[in-house]
This record gives sequence, C-alpha cells and structure tokens, in this order.
Amino acid sequence: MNFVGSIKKYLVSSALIASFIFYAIFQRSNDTAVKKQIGNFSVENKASDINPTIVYKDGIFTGNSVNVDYGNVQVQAVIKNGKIADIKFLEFPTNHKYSAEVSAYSTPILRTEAIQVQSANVDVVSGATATSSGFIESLASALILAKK
Amino acid sequence: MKQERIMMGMPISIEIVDLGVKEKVFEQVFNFFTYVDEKFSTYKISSETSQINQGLIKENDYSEDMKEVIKLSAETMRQTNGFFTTTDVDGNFDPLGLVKGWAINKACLLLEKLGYKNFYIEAGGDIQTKGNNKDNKFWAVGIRNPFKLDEIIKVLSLSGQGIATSGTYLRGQHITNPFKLNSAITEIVSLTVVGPNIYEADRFATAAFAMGKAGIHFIENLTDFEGYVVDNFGVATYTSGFEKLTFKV
Repeated sequence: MNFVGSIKKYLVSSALIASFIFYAIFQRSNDTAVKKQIGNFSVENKASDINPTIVYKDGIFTGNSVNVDYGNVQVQAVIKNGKIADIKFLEFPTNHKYSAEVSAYSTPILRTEAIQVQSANVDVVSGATATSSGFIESLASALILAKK
Repeated sequence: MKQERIMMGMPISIEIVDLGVKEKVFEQVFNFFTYVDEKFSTYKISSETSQINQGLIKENDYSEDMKEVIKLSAETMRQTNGFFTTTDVDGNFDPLGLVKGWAINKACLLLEKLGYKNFYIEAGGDIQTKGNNKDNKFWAVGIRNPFKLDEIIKVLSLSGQGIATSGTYLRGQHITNPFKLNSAITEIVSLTVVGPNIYEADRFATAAFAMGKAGIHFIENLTDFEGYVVDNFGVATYTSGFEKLTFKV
C-alpha cells in the first residue's frame, strides 16, 4: 500500500508540475499569438495600421465601434512607453443573457485534449471571423490616433 | 470552380465541383446574399429590420422572409432557454444571430434546385457542405486555431452537414472581458458545432457560446449535433460523437 501511495503522490506532484509548466508556456505563447496576430493579420481593411514595431504615443485611445454579426465591438488601446500595454473592450456583443441558468448538464462523457496544429490541407475552414475582424478594425482605428 | 467575395463585412466563398458548372450561378448566389443584407441589416437605415425598429412597418405587412426569420427566432429562443435572443441591449429587434446560417442554408437550397450536388457555401467561417469535393471525397473542413488565425487544429470530413464556429478574439492578459472582470481563469474562446445543416449548427453555436462552459453540455444533449470547444488554456472538450467526424488519412 505504501508503494502505491508513494506512486500516487509522485503522479499527483508530476501532474501539478506538468500543468504549471504547460500554463507558463501557454501564457508565453498567448503573448506571442497576440503580437503575431496583430502584426500579420492582412485580410481586414485597416490591419496594416496595426504594427507592433511602431512606437505609438503614450495615452488611452478609443477605437471605432464596429458592427459584427451579433452586436458591436469597440476597444480601447492603452499605450505605455510607446507599446500596447492593454486592450480593453468597451463594447462587446451582448444580445445574450449571460445570467440565465442552463439546465440539464450532461453526464461526463465529454472528452478533452490539448489542441494541436494539423496539416492545413483542407477545402475550407470554419472559424469565428466576425468578432475578431471587428476587434481588429476597432483596434486599428484606435492605433491610428496613437500614431506619432 | 470557386469564387469569393467580401459581403456583409465578411468573406463569402462558394466552391462547386459538379461537371459543367456555370459561372453565372455564383452571381445568383451572391445576389441572394446582397438581398439578405439589404433586408436584414441592422445598420442599413433602409432595411426591413431598421424599418421595423423605427415602427414604420405593421406586423401584417412584414415580408414572408422576415416572418419566417421571426418565427424561427422565437423557436430558437425557446429551445435555448433564452440564450438566443433577437433583442439587443437597446431593446431593438436584431435577428442577425440567426440570419447568417439561415441565408447560407437558403443559398444551398437554391443550388440544389438548380441541380448541383457537390459544393459548399461558406460565409464568415460558417459552412454548409453537400456531396463530395473535387477528389470525390467528403469535404475536408478545418477548424481554425482561435489563438493563431493561420493555423488549423482539427480536420473534419463532412458531407451534407453544416459547421459553425462562435468565438471571441483571444482573451488573455491583454484583453479584458467586460462581463466577467474577475472571472475564473478557464473560459471558452471558440466553440464549433456540426449539425444536420448550417442553419441548425449556427443558431445552436451562437446560443451555446453564450452559455460559456456549459455550452458543450447543451450540444451533447442535442441529437444529431456534435461540438468542439476550446478554452483559453488551449484545451479542447468535445462531444461523444465528435471523433467519428474527424478526417481519417
């Protein structure tokens, strides 16, 4: 039993350490993803106005309110030391009742996995473009104001 | 043959692989989307939606399409315990949460009526598939990585189903959710629903996303629907029948 107990302890502590490392790595990749998306997004009208290498004016700049599929998106960019320090949502699609109760939780037959990048050899891609394009459009208009 | 346009503020793409496909059929479908935009847009002052909100049209005089959308919206609101609604924050009527899926579905019915059997229509990341692709296999449909828009995190094999993804832009340390400023760390960033058609998939994806973490349970409880949700740690949760839809090499 002692042996099993220590194995369990070992497993639990390894799992904790692993999840901590995963969390740390993920937070880092989150940062990179934000910068990369802001830097490389090319489909939208004004995405060229978002450029992480530009030195912006310090201050708080409010973007346009942009109509997306199910509401409006408006962001505010906070610039500190010439860089984007924070982006806040002033408006966000709200025509959903977040407070309502959801009945009937299903039994735990759901499965989980860490997402993994797959081969891009597909016919067509599903993704939530509407809100993100609104975000980029609003942010771009905020950053125009923040340009030196 | 494949064509793409930017309409209603989003890319709309159509691929038809049937032999002898005529170029003018694409025009017909795009014209239909223009009609939908003119009729339902909430920001075009001349649209029927705007006219309704200004009290300029009596209920009896609503167009047939408007009546249908209103009826379907009421039905969806009931089926989703109010998570789907057509009333916006200002109390105005806003049917757009349902109109995109409805329009893609109608456009596909138009193509079927014209005799086409192998195609897809995609509008802003929501897709209806029919038949097979150019290699005579089921359509290979990717799910976009919500953290890196040029990457794919899942490939599904679809023929006849609709697939819709609801989501927000990456919320991380840089971005604050206005509703849950001090919320738990695990939140959903992207929720994909596969259903019998795009109208069904889209309306339930919209509602399930609004439910937050509970949304995937809601999808699990629906017959003929599968879902794949990604949280802000990059961990995905999926329904019991989802695996069967994934692309096998």
